[in-house]
Amino acid sequence: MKTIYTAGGILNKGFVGQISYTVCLDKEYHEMDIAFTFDKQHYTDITEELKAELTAACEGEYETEIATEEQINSAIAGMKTEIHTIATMNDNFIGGIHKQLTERHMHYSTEYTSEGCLPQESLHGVIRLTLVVFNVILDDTHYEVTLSVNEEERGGLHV
Amino acid sequence: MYKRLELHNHTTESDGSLTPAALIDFLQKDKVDAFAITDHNTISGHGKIKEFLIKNSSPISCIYGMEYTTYYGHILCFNLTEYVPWENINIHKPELLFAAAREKGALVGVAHPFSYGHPFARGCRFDMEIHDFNSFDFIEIFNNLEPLHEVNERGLIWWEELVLKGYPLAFTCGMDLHGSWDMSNHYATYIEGTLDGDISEELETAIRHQRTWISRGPLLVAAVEKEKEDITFTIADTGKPGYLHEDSDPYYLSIRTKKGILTKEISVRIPAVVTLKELEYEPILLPKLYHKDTRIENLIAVAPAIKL
Repeated sequence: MKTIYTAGGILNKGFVGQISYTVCLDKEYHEMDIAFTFDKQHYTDITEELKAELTAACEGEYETEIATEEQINSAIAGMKTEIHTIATMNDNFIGGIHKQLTERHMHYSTEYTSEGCLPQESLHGVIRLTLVVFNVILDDTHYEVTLSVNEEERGGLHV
Repeated sequence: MYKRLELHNHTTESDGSLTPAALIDFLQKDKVDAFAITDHNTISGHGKIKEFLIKNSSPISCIYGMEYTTYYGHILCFNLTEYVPWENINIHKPELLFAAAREKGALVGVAHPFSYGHPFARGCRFDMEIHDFNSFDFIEIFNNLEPLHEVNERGLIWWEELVLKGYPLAFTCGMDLHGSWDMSNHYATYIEGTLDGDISEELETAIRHQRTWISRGPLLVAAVEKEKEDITFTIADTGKPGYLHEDSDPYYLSIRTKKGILTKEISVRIPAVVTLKELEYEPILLPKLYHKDTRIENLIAVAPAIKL
């Protein structure tokens, strides 16, 4: 596989929205891999500030109570930075990966297509990868996207 | 006949743990008549399911759909065969996405509207401002995963209030299945259909005419006799696996109207007859079936709204 595009960035806590990358393929390919990674998915420290924020949200927006310390800790441990990926080719949807993974691949070849993606007979034209950022819980969350292609007629790299 | 539908299911095509084939196998074993494939933000399972059903001559039918999983709420779509982009979703104008999905022939509904969103899981609660309640087709009033009081009861009450205001909204429920979870004693959706009927068409008819039921077991069926000015309610068995009812526990029929709630005892053997006079000739009736008492914990079934 030949890497033809790599990009990355840093996200702030609280960011919600999408970030798109567009790549114009120079010719037709038979295998393509779009990789996406990010870090800081979960809290590593459960601080008093976090606990207070959660308790306030429960009592305010949700009109419910989290009664015990254990419930609070469990709820905070379950909170996550959540970023998913959607890809289009020439403005047509070719896949979306909505899994709680910090590393994922959208892989297209004649023999294999990743779960969440639609098989493509050929790969050509304009590829757009959109990161849909649902939640970022920590500042300085790093991410990276990489697009690789294979010029070989038959590709079958199972990722 | 009544068909049991499971209308909210995820597979490994999104964040579920069952492959499409394993999901089919699991639902068939639980005697489900039809299911919807509603993976998060992808339709990649559709082709795999179609191929599997044809290859295996499976008796179960599939309703092709998706769960739009946005920053501000989840939107269930049935009979959606084409991906409609959602990334430009506007929290103040969900109607734009509703309309775009409907243009492709989809039935559009709000999933688990009162689920916990931020800071637990952004997007799970429906935070969008709906201005036009005619712009979508149904509300998922029971999501079996969700807390009863904080989420599902609020969903039920929201639907009831909208229908009593005259909006033509149907209701559904779902397991929000992400694995091979126990479905006994959970709510399933039921619609009327025929043995060889096209499930997509039958679901569309049911939702367009607000003729859906949800139940943990039996259905509450109403027969309106306008000349006699009464309604006969009967309890119909569905054979849903896992539903157990002690004979000693009474069933109660509850009918909510704009003016209040009428409650009567009903049994499998003895139907309940309610006169329109008792209901003060109210034009919209919302019947439900309970056992033991009429607390939400003992809600067995919700029947379609009756519009006189």
